[in-house]
Amino acid sequence: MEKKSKHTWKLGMFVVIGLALFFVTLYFIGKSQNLFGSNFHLNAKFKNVSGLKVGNNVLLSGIQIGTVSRIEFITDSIVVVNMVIKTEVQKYIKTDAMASIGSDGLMGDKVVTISPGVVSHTIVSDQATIATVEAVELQDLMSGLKKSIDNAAVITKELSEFSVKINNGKGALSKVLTDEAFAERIDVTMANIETSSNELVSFSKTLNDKNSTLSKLMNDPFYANSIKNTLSGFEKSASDVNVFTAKLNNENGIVSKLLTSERLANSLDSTLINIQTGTEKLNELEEAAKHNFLLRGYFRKQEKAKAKKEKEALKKSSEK
Amino acid sequence: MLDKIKNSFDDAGKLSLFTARFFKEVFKWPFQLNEFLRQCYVIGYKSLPLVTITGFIMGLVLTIQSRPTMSKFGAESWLPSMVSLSLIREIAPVITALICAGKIASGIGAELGSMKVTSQIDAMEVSAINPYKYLVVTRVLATTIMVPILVFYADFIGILGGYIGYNVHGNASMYSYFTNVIEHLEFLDILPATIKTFFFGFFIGLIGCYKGFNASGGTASVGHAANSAVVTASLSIFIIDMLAVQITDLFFS
Repeated sequence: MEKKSKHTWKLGMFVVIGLALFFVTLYFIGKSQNLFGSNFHLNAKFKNVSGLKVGNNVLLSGIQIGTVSRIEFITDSIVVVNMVIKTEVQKYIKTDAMASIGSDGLMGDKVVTISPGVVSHTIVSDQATIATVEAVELQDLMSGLKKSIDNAAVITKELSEFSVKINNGKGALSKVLTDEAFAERIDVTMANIETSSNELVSFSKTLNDKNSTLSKLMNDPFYANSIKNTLSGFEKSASDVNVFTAKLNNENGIVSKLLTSERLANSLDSTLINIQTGTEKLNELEEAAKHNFLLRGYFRKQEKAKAKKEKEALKKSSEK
Repeated sequence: MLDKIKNSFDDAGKLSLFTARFFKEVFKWPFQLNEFLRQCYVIGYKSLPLVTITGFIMGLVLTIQSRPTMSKFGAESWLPSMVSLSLIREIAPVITALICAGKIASGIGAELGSMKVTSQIDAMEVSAINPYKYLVVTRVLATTIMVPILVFYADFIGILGGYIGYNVHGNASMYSYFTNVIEHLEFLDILPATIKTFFFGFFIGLIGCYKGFNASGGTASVGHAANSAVVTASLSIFIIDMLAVQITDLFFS
């Protein structure tokens, strides 16, 4: 009997440890699937769950907080995903939290990621429905990528054409980049610019000198006053001129009449004709006087003096 | 030829009757508790070292063998969960059951066979002890209950062996390893595997007893009973395994 009892405790230990292992395993598996402890449910509506399965993990800030418990259609295009989440994280999920479906690693399972909201301070309630962000499908990503790759191809092609043109062309840019003489000219130009800027510096120095005229002109109040006086004098004379021209324009003035009146022009014309006739008659009178014996001697003397003057002039020029 | 077919059907019929008799007797009072505990001790506790070594080596070897393939996919971090899944779902139950078939079924077959050929069973019947109840029911019950527990041990030891195998090349803490294992396990991995081990245990005990109980003739039939018990039990384990996996697959996936 003693021997038997020794066997019995060994047997008991064997059975107890074996069963304990089993139940501990069961407990941990249940715990990892949130079967024990208090949970709450959240819903999220997706158009596409990208292969999400019941039992996949739910992450909040990268921490596993629950699992997907149900996936079902509610209409022909919307799928509702029901999640079991630990109650202890409920206070961290606000009503404006967003659910999205992502991938756990490159080949891993799909996961639901809950991103915390920013604005709201209200904690989600049990069975609440939170907003979703549609998952980026690999196909969409690929098509987007293809577009940008196509664009990149066009850009690189044009770039290569552009650089070929630069290297071989005769445009200004090509000259800038390749022509040595041009570079030298630019060098010279730069030197000239440098010189002139130096000169400008010295010139402005002179300008700034207090005793120079320009500086005095700029700074001295005396000059300013005299300039002011001059200008006011100008103004005065300008106004006088103004008055004068106004008078000129007055129709009753002589000048105005001279310029505008037709009658005056006619009378002036006839006056001039009269004067012409007068001078003709005077010429005749003079001719008559020359032949008069009283006056002939005077005219002859005058002719002789003239001839003598001409002779002397001729003599001078021949001597030269 | 015809005789052979007839014989095999005869065998199947006898086995069915034997099984029916077990279920009839198991609910009948009195229950041989002491004999049951003794058998449990012999079957369960005494098999533990064997199962421990086998389970440990299976876990270790499976991990080391899987590593090259997994690292080809860059999925070495999946090794713990993969090894533990295959251990729990398939390898630990089947290997443990085969070990038990070799150790227990042959032992029972030889024991009962020798009792049969030396007319001890007849003597029991004469002394008003129900030999079926005393010998068969206790043993079959003991295997049915002990084999699953041995499988739990084998699971645990195998996963531990997997940890050591994982650390041959990798470097993971015990905690992170077991977290990784638990994370990928589901009830669906454990429950069908556990249920089928009860069937394994039941059939190991039943076939061992049947072969021993039906030994006839001289001492040579004792060896024959032991041998045929091991062969039939191992075969039945694979057949049950196949059925269990198909049923699980049918209903749970």
